[in-house]
Amino acid sequence: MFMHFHIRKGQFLVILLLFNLSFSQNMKKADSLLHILETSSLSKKEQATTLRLIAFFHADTNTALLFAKQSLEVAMEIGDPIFQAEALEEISHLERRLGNNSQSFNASLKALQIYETEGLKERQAASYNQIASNYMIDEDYYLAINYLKKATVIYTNSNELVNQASTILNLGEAYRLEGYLDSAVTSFQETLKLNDLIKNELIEGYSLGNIGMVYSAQNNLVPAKENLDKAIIILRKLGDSYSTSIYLAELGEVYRKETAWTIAEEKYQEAIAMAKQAGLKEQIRDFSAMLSDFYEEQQLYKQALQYQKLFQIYQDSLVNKENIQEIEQLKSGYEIDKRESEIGLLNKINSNQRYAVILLITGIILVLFFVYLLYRGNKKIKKVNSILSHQKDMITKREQEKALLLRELNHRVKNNLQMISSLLNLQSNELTGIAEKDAIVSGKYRVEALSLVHRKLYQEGVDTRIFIKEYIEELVLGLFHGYGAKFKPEFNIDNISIHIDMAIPLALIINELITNALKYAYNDINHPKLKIIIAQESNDHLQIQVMDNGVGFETIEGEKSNSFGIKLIRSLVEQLEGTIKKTTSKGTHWELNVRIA
Amino acid sequence: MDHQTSKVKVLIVEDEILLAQDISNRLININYEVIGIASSVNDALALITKNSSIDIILIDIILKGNRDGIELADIINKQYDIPFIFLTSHADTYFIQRAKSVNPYAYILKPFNDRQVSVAIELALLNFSNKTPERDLLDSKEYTTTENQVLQIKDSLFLKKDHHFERVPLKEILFLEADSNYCTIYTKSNQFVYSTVLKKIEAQLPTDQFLRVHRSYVINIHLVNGFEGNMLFIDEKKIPVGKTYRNDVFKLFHTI
Repeated sequence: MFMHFHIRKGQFLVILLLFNLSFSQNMKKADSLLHILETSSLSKKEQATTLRLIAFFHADTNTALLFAKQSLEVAMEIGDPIFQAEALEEISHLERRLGNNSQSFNASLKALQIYETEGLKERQAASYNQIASNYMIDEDYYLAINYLKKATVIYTNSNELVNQASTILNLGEAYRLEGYLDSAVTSFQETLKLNDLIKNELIEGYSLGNIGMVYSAQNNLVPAKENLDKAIIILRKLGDSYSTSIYLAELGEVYRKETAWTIAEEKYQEAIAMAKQAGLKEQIRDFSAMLSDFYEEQQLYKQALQYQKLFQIYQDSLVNKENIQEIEQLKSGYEIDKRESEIGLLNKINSNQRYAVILLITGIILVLFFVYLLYRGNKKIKKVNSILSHQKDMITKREQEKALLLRELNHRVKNNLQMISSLLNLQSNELTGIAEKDAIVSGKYRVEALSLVHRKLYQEGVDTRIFIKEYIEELVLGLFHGYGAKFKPEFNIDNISIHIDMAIPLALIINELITNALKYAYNDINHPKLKIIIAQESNDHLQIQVMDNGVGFETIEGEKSNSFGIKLIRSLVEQLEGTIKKTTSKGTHWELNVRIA
Repeated sequence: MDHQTSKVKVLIVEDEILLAQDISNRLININYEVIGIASSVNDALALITKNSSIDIILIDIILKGNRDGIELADIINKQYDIPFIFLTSHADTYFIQRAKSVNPYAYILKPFNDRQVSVAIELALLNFSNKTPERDLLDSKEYTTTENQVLQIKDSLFLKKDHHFERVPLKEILFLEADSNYCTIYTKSNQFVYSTVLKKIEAQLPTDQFLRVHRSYVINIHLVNGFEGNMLFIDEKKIPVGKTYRNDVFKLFHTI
């Protein structure tokens, strides 16, 4: 009856666990690797490999898992898929060992994906095996069969006989447990056939034992005995107490079915003794249940009770063990979470610090950049300023030179005008003929009129201008002085300035009019008068009036003798785009209108 | 009539010889006496030393040799008491500043005409008489409206006639006679008629030498050679003494 409660497992060969190193050796290796990791400066790839190996050799599964995860991280960092897959495989093993099957699956599936993408067939097959092994533990034999089939195909094609044999052996076991007994037999027989070539005793023993279990289940008792016997002989020789004891118990079952009670009891006892010796608690429990059943059937209740108790003890102990295992799993899960979150926190702090450093460096670079820009800007400004000041100096110097040249020029113009006037004056002194002398003197006064313009010039912006009130008054007074006139002229002149281009013709016109009056108008006039009015009519026109109370122009015989003066006046009025009008009544009244702009 | 003695004596310092001759001609034409033309500072100083009675000097600022007109003016200011006029075509600040430093009595700016020469001489004499140098170079100078300017410079009167001055040494003036708005100055050899009141001329005369003796007469005390009743004799002329002046006049002449 108890048989339903537990599944009698045959041998499932986990290929990757065929390492045969002792616990202490493994631990030493892990420590030395850890030392290498801490002291040597390894490349990223070397780090990933070393971390994975530490995980593999480390005795403490939790610690090993951490190293495996670190290895995965490093592999992710360097972006190497193979290293990632290897780390994932290791994680899968460790998770499984800790009982976290779903995490184990996840890791295995990821590793498988990577191998598929990279096209690494044998690695793929190994992954299939591992996944299948996981499904076996979960008692999901259907899926396990699927993965094992895939692995088998790959190994068959690659001629990896040991792996092929092991996989087919495992496939057979899966079939057996799933209840496909025929397929199971076929698989085991194929394994035995393959083993003829490779001569692996372990595989042979397992195959034979597993076939025996199938035959036993099929109540095919003779071949069952035969195969189980062979398996027990081989495995006992190899010292595999675990398998041997299972097959012995199965053999006991076969004998029980044959009602060969004595041999059956013998086999059961041998199995349980072996299990006790090897400390295989599950087996002790299972075999106790079998024995209890067996003795109950034989109505040997004392023995039955004794084994029932033993069963109970081991059952409790195993349940307890499972509980403890579960608690341990929870605990380790919690520890891992805690460490992971610590790592995460540290990483975060690390990355925050990194960001801060990056930010600081960026800031400093920016500041330096601005400082550089400022410096360059300043330098540029300084350079431009120095160029400007140099140019300014040059301009000032040139201006000074120009001013000096202009002064020199003015000086020479004035000296030359003085010289001309002096020459004419000297010549007039030597002449005795009245007409000649008069001509020279008139010339002298014309030159003096021009000279006076040059004395009165001033600069207004770019224009050279002259104030006409001051100028005309001095001109007229000079003529009065020169001709020895005893009376005073009257002036009514607007205080305005005009351009030199207009001033010179205007000066000559007035010079002629006044000279004419002084020379000819006042013969026998008792109270001579002369009035000059100059008024600005509009912005660009000037009205000039010269009035005397003399004898009147028409009556002057000098009109002929001074015809040059009259011609001069007409030409100059034309030059000034002006008009001239003369009225004669009690003297002469000249009225001029000229354009001054 | 000895006109020579009454002419104002002018020295011209100018290295442009034609210009110097022209100015000389102009001055002679209006009855001045040009006592010489110097073309350098050395020549000018030699002439000044030789002629003790120079009344006025025209100085061109630019001269031959290594000293210029302004340096000459400085020497004149320090060693001689003669008014001078600067003649220049430079009207810029640098020259004006330098020229001003030696306190000229007038300026003639080239190119000039007769009137400007006359104005400058009158102004120089007036300023010299008043002991005020000319300050403004560029202002146009109004030719004095009083045709009859009378100035006392040193021991002479400078009397303006037409457009020029004549110099009359004080010791040669006998007396002055007023006739309504006219006034006649009698000298040993000449007489000058001015359309000005006696009072104005009297103001220019030193009081220790001249004395009002009548409403119409001011006499030179040193030249009185006798009196008779209320008549004074001066160089054969008889001058009446007014009642109001009698006591003052005869106080001077103590009867022996």
